[in-house]
Amino acid sequence: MNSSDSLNKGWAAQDYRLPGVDQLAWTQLQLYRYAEDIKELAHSHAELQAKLERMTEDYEKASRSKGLLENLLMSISEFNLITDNRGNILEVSSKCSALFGIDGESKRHIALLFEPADRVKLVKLFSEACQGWNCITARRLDLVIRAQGSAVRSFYLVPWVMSVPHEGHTRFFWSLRDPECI
Amino acid sequence: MLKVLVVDDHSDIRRLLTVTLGSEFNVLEAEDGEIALKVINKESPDVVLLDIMMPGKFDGLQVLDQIRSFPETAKTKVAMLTARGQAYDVEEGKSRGADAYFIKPFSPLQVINWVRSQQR
Repeated sequence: MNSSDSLNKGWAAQDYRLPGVDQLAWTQLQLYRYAEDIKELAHSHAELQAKLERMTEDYEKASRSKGLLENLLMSISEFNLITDNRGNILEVSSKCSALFGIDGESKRHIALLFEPADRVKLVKLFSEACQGWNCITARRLDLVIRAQGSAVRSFYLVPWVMSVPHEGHTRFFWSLRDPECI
Repeated sequence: MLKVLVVDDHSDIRRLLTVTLGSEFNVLEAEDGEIALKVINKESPDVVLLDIMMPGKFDGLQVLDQIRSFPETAKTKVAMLTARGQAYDVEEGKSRGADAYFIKPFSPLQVINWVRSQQR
């Protein structure tokens, strides 16, 4: 390779470069581009931070509301109970406890509180409530309640089932109302 | 972990890209086309970030031609990284089989997002 070839090759390589722009200048330009992206990232980070704070605040509010709702439902003098998503009883109101002779510790299935003939209706209602995530499902059902002491008392009740997400699980609030008293 | 080869004669750019990608990917470096081809044959990187304007035996487009011409390397993802940002240059890169084209000064976010997208 003669010097002319070398020169030509050199020119050919240099031909791609913008005139007067050396590596240091390119580094500088590239660093400016990094700075722009870092600025953009910082802005996105601030927005995400604000969004996270809002979501945390909303979550806390929702948790407080959920607690209030739970307390309200359990403290009012009605036939209220809470089950898990399989229908196992977790908590009962005092009136419910007196009627059925159970408490939240008994872990019984809600269907066992009713006469076998009515359990199918109850399971159907529960299944519908499970499908309607976080929605209120109400259905009038004529249920015969097996009361405390094995005596059977006939009640005509309207069960209201409300599903509420609770710490990653779903809880179901059951409110049994006697239409005769409404 | 995805293996990424950065090919650029400009050491600062190589360093910047290595720092940018190094926390997520296994980054290899080559300072010219000839070394790049040796690294590609030896290490079989998944992704190559290839500067076009390089001194030496092969420029970036010639390296791209070599990558595409061998069955072992033909499917390697290649992004051209260059100051040549004219539409003609972009078309030239695409027609020769480049998967992406980043114009210098490139956005590091765009580059890292593109490399990430090659993992899927």
